[in-house]
Amino acid sequence: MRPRARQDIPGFGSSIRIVWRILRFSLPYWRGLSFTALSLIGTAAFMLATPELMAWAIDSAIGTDIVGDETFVDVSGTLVLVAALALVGAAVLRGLFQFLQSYLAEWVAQTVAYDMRNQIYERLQTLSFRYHDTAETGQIMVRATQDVEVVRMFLNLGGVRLLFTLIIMVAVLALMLVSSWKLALVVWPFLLLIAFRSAVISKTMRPIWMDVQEGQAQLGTVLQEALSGIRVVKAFGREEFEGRKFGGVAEWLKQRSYDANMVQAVNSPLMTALWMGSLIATVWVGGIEVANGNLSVGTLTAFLIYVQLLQMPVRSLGFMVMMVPRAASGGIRIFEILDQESDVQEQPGASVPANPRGELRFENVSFSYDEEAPVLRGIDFEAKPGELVALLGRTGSGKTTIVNLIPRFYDVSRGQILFDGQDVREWPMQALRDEVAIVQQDVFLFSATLRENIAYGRPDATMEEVVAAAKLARIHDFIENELPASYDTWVGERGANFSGGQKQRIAIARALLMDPKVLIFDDSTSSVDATTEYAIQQAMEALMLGRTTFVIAHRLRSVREADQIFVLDQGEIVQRGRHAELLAEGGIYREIYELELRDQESAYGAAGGGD
Amino acid sequence: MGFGGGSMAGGWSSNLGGVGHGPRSNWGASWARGDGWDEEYGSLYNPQMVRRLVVYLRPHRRDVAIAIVAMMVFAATSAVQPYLIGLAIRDFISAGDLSGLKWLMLGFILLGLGAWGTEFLRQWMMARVGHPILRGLRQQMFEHLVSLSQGFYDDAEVGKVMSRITSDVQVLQEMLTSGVLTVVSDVVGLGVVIGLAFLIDWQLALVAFAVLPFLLIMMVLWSSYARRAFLQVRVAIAAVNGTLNEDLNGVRVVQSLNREGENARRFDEINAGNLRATRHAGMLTALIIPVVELATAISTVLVIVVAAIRLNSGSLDTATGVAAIVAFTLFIQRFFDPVRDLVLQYTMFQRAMAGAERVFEVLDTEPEILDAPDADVLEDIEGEVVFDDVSLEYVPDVRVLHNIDLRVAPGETVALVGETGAGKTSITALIGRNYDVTEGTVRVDGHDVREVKRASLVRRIGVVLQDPFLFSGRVIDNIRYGRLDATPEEAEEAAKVVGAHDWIMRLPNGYDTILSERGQNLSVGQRQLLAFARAVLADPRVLVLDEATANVDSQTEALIQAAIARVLEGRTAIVIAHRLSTIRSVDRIVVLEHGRIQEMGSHDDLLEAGGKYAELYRMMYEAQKPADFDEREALDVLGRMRERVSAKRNGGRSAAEAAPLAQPAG
Repeated sequence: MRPRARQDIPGFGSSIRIVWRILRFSLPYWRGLSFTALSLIGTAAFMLATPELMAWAIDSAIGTDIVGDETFVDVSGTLVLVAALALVGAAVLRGLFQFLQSYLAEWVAQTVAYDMRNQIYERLQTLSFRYHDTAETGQIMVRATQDVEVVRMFLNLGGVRLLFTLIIMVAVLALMLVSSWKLALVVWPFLLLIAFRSAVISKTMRPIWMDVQEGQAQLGTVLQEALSGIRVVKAFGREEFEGRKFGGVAEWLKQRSYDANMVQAVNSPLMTALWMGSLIATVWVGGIEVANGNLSVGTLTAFLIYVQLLQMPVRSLGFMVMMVPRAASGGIRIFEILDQESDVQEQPGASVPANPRGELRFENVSFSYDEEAPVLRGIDFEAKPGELVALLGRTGSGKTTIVNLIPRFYDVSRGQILFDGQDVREWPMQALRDEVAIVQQDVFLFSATLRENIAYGRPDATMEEVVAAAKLARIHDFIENELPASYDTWVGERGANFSGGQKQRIAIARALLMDPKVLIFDDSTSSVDATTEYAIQQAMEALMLGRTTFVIAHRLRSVREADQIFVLDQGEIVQRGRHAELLAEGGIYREIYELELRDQESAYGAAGGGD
Repeated sequence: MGFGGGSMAGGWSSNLGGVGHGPRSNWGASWARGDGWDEEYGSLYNPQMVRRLVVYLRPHRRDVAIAIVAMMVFAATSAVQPYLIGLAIRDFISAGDLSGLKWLMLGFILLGLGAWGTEFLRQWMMARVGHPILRGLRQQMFEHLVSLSQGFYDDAEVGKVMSRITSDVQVLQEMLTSGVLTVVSDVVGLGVVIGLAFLIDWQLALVAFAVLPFLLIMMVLWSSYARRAFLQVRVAIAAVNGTLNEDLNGVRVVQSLNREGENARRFDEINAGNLRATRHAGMLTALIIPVVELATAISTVLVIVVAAIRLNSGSLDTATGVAAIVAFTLFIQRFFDPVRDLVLQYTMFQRAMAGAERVFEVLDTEPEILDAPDADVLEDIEGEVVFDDVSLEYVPDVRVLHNIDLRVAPGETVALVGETGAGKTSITALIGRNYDVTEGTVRVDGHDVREVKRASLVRRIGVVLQDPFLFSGRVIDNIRYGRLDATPEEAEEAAKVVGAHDWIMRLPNGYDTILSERGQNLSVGQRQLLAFARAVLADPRVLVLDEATANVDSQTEALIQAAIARVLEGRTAIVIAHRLSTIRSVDRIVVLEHGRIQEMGSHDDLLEAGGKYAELYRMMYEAQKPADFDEREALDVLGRMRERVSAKRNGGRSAAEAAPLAQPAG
């Protein structure tokens, strides 16, 4: 995914296509849309009726007539009453339609936003690791929040209200032309000037607003880093340095915000003045017409109300028009996610073999992340049900990659992986991942209760089952004795309240509750103290009972008891066998042994270890 | 006229403010506690807050005064327009006096120019006042925040602190500038409108404004409903974004545990909750429109009817009557906007008051650790660290360290060992004065750490933490964080010492490679090595390694261990280790238990003594002890679960087979 460049504005043709695609999201709600359109027309009709009714009330009901320098009135009680009722009635209907229009437009726009969020969420949840390896969470979040918001505003303001404004403007123009074309010609240049000016300003404002938003985002980053990394800031005494860094961004943000305000400070009074100009022109020219007997007072009043009525819509026209390209660029980014195809796809008609045993066979498996440098080459091995397989090798030798291929987090580039004799690509995804549980290196906990975290893969597990898993993972005692709320303890953001070892055991309990046939324990970290390490060791042994187990760990115990050991180097298996054989063989295994495992030997032996 | 731009500002940042949904652990922050949504709105007017806020306006007195005057003039010009139109009709148009009309219109044009000028002046002054205040307040908060001691951050949640400096400050600024001015302008505008209306015809004015009290009551009622609805929207959307963010970060776990379906269902629930909240808020927003429309219409109609009656009875002169009808029609249109505005401002003022309270709460938090007024600058040191009968309490009466006596000689390496919570990290935190001791003294080269300038103290002490924190920026900037004025060569040298140079050179742009947030594009081991290089570049005399190799794989650990050996040469070091095998060769091992020093000595001595250390050491490699629970039974429970799940799934599968093409959309 390329870095987010807010400035890129799609071309006209693609804009149309994207806007059309956005609009298609609202088509399922065609009923809501139709009602919106109807109430839009209703609003417009009754909005325009009011000035006409006023004109009629003044001219006919009150019977105003100006002849020479004399004003005459001829009040008709009945007509006044009729006019009054009509005016109130029109207002009630106008209000009702306006309510419906505003509510329905929001209803449709919000529903579309809801649909989009759901789709984005589901898509993200199912995209393979390959996508998430390169995608940046921050950017995706911006798409799912701000861009969806832009689309929603477009549907409401850019779509519905723009349409409404155009209808009103055309209708008013027509009505004005009919009642007095001379006056209409005087008023309209002002209104068009306002509309044009507001469009120009919206365009000028856009890059400035983007800078402001960018500035706010940057300010947030500096702030977040300084606060999250406060220990480092303090350890190096860098308070002033951070203050300057913050100040630099804050100053820029201030400048751009000020610029934005100044553009408005220059523009918005101009618009006010232009609008007053239209008012003056109406009164002046209209006054002359009335005095000359070419125009009634009522019609003049109607014109004045029209001008008043048009003020807001005309001023916001530019803003609404600019919603279209904004929505288009937001839409592009949203659809980029929605159009992303997972490179790991379930084959139609995949079937689950009965009674999975946990036999695994890698047949000449190769893998590369980017088509270029292969990460794995010609991996060939077989693991029988219940076997313990240890993977060893330097960082970057491909250990984690091998195990990630089993539950299809990635698909092999060449060769195949057979699980119980069936290619993993022919397994239904859910069944496969039910049988293969992985305890990942970097334990991720969710903000939920401890119980929910353990039961994350089995939301319907009973308390008894959760406790059984926790016991086997050797975390039950800690939960019961040390945590005030026991299993209901809230796990904060990413489990910040727990130590590395505790988190790891929670993850083990989580995997245990899946009760898989194949268990993968990716444990090349060592983020635990001695006591914890011991507990984890025990937990692992409980885990392995009756399962095919893959362990990535440089622990003497694991390699000693392993049925098979594979030593990896640059994506190839360079040594295989059991501990004693490999030790005799020398090579990388011997090196690793000398460097890391030998130390553990004395204690292991002294404590009477072994089988 | 912000054209919606203003409302976008700070919208996203406010979502960062952590949402108080779900039960929180009681380990949470006492300081941040109660920072819930119910405190979103404060009282309308809090004199103490206002007095403090006014301080920020004081340097801009002149500009504020100009803005207020400009705005009052503007409000008056805009309110006087209907009056002028009425005047035109009554005195000139009705009388056919076209030259009089010309003069009046020229006056009107002058008025328009006046409106133009004053409105520009007002907006200009507002920008001149508002942005420096916002900027200054933010800077003040930021500098204050980073000056607060470690203790503050143990409790505070970063998200919540952030929202104070972003959204709360923003709300304050809005209130100080546009908020206050809008209220003044609305009040002035209303005053002028009412005054002029009464000037034209007091009876018609009374009639026209009769609906006002009812409208006001309706508005206030509405705003209290709407406020709650908008609050719900904010809570709901924050929940949506929070869930999305978390599940996105944890997507690998989600996929490996087959949780996509369940998660999609839950997300849909939360998302639908947001939809409901927004629809409800949308309805309330729309609801106010017919109310205002109706009020306007009734007002207008009342004026027409009363004017008609009075015209008929001849108690109103015809020219005035007609002019009054036209003028009042326009007056009424202009009357309801300020009223609606004021009601909205009322809500904003409440929010701003609550925001002010939160902002000042931060600014009022005193740093617990301040340099003594007569603090000395700590010059070059040998690196002796002495703990003299040190006790420490984070919370009163809960002692974490008891009477620690320990002298670390210059150049000596001491390892701290003990179970989680034994007090290892607390001891190291005292050296750099991250906390102050409760009793006793910590001395560096004979200086009480409380009697030297902290900045000069930390310059001599290097700390490498378990979780290496990197800043977004270039690799070299991160290394140079240790010494800002270091040359690129020196930074490179530091990287070589810790064995990071080779892989840094293999990065796409070498030392200029940009690290993403927190260095996510590096492995943990690489991040740790950079943190090491950073500490090495600072060239401290005392080095604290707090489980510095805990998060790296054993391969990298071996690398780091080699680096440590080189780096520690000639420096005093205090090492907290999780793996006993890594500290065998240190000069002295200090075993801690429950905040007390249990034993001290070399690896061999301690092993021989057969105390706590020997126990810890043995435990690490001990053969499996029998479990203190029935393993078989626990496994049986899981086995039964498996049967239950597969039975359910098989049931579900036959249903799925009945509808084979139920492909999920997307």
